[in-house]
Amino acid sequence: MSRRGLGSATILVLQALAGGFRYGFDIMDATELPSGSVYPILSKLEESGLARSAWEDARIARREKRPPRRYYTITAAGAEALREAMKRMTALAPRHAH
Amino acid sequence: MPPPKRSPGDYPVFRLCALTLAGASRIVPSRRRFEWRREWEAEVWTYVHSFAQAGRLTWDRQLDLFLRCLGAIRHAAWLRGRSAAGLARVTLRELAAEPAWAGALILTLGLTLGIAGAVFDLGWVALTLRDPDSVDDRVVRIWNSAPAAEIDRTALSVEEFTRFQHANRTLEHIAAFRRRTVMLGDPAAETTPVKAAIVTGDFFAVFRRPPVLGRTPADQAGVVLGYDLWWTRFHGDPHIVGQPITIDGSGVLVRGVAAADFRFPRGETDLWLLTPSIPSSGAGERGLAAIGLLRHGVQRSTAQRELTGVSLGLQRESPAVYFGQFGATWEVLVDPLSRPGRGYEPILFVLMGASVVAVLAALACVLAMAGHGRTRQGPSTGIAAPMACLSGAAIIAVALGASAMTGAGALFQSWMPALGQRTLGAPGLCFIAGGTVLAAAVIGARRRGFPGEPVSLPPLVQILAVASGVILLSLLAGFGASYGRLHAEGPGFQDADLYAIPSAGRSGDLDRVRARLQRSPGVVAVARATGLPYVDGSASTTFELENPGVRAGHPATSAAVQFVDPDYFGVMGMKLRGGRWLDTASAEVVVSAAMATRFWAAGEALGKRIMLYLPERSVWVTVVGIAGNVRRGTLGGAGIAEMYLPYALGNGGRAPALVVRTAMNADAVADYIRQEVPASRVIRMDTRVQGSEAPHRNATVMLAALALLVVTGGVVSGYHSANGWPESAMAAAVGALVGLGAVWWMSPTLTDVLYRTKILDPGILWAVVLVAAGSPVVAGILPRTFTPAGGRLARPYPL
Repeated sequence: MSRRGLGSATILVLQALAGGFRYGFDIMDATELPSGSVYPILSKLEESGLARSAWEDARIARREKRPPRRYYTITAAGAEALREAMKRMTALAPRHAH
Repeated sequence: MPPPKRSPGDYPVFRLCALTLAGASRIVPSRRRFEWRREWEAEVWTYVHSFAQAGRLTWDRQLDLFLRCLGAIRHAAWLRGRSAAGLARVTLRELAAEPAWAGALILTLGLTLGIAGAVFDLGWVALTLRDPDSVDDRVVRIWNSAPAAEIDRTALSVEEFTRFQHANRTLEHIAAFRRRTVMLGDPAAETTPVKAAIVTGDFFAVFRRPPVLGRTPADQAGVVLGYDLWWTRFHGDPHIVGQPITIDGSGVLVRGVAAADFRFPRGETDLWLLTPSIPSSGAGERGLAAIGLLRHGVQRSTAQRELTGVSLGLQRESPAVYFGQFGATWEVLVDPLSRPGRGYEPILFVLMGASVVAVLAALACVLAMAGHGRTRQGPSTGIAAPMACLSGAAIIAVALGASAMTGAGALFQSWMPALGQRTLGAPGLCFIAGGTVLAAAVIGARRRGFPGEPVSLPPLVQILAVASGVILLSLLAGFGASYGRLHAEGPGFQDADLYAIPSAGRSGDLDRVRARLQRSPGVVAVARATGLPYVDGSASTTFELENPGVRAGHPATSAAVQFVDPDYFGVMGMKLRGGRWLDTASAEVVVSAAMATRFWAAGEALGKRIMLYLPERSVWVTVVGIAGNVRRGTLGGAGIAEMYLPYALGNGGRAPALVVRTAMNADAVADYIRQEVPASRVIRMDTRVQGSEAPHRNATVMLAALALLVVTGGVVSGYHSANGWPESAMAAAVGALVGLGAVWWMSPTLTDVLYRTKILDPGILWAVVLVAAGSPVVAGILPRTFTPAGGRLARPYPL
């Protein structure tokens, strides 16, 4: 994924990941994006190395009597891409203010 | 708020989401499928579990969850192809993966469409051939057309029509007409607008419907009156022919009176102005409607070629006039004038409705087949893959079905010219379609095995489905038995060639008509009667038995009464059960078999006396005969106590009617009868009787179609519920009880609607139970019988 081409929805998902939201449904709640958008974005982020996914420890899931969930975390590259994107958005803000 | 349940799997929304995910997973590439489904199902599980435990799994949250799951389909498609094209690729791949199975699907759909379309059209043709009022198939409408100028059908020019009159060899008669409204009556007094047509001399010859009065010479001007106009405006004057009437301020001689049911064009014309020749209003102007009667053995296409040749010759002779118009060459089209199916629209609508139901049943079966076909490679009974498969199959099948219909159309047309130009592509499917697909589904299931994963419906849905099925099947059995009895028993008299003419109120008028009809050719006998069955409501009178107490519990009471001529029984064709008919005007009475049974012991009614309390007087009458029971109308009246008294005793204050028994050609006699009375007053009794049975017949057909759907659904759902049969059986039992309770609740109302049939008859109940229980039982047995590895049914659900 081209970092220059990060869309607003992708930035929102990255922000959610950076904010500690790890599961697909939680990210949906945080970003208020539909599942049909969130999951493809997560897949794209994972393919481009901006996020990674893993299965949670089965012991934890067993203890909580539920199936293991897949969680996503932001990578260093993802954090960098998010910072750049935010910087660009911040730079745009004053122009709109005037 | 309901208390939380133990597992998310207990919640219908979870099962719905799981089904959606299972279907969507078929789209996901196989290398990612397992993890993809595991991730989604874990999210759904956690969502349901967390909210359920907190007691906050409200309806809006369940809806939110389902909408989230729908997003999984988009995710799956994105993973597959990252575009909509991915779905198309899936479709093709699914079809190509198992070509034999895909071929079976396509053939099933195609043959379903083709066969059902053909059956529907055959039904149409059969009904058309039965139509007694249809226009002769040889009568055609002649049009001009200019395809190059995109002019489809337009009227002829006068020059062209005149040339056709003299040059054609394919038409026995040809005529032209123009519609217009004329003012009838003396302008100095009162005029009435009347819908009329200006027609050439051969107009009536084309239809082979000569006027019932007078004649229509081709070379003389004049007017032919419509039958109703003649009756209402000229009081049925038999000497009207040859007299002048005023039309648009001018005197015109009346040449004849048309047959009562002849109203062409548009079925609303009241008079026809005969003209030896229609003057042209301008060369090439097209405003003349033309009709013709094909010679025996001549095809429409032959006539079309000949008339087009004549027209082209005229166009070559006057190119400035004809070729100049719209810059195009004019051709001639010859269309049939008859309108198939006229008078049978209700039946056709029922047929069409049944066809639509059969289509739904067929699609449900094919969907089940597709689901079965895809289960071999995995544990899924996915919806998306079969749907994708079906979408491709359906497109191909429609083309195949259309081809089959076209082929069948050509075949049928060679067998049945009456089929005409009808396209065998009517939106119809018939019962044979459902049967074909059902058989294909069973064969397919045998070959492919059955789903390894049960798809259970919520218990409430199962209960409602079974209850609906029981109600539906009960109604079908009830209406079927009712119609069968109605048809088998008949009305109690011979309704064929029998006409009724209710009184217009003046007895003198009726007596005059009666006298004239008795002298008419083709009329066998005429009789007067009050309270005719199927025509008038029954009247009753109170009476007292001379020797009461013969049968306890039936004191002096009342019974229906008809005052009839002695000939009435013969005219009606009623059956004599004992004694004799009335033969004099003396104080005698014939009673119905139901009355004889009700008031006297077996065989003791004859010779008994009854005191009748008539409106004018009281009179003793003696029972001289016992008549078979007569059905009085739609349903009621069969088997009621009824008395037939001599008309000479009076009429009980009721207006009499005439019944006319005819011989020879019934339609011809009907025309003759209508010469004596307005058409609106002549009632065909066979039509009345058939009409009374129609609701039962139509309901039976419609319910049979729905029952087919129910049974099909029972078989299909039986497959899916094979694993959890104890729960399904419980739901089915509850549903059956609910259904039977509803039928019991409806039974009083249905008793009034059904003919001599009780919806709760043991026979009907057993038939319903057998069909309702049989289909899922068969479906439950089939998997074990036909599946080589019976253990597949017990494959555990992944979660």
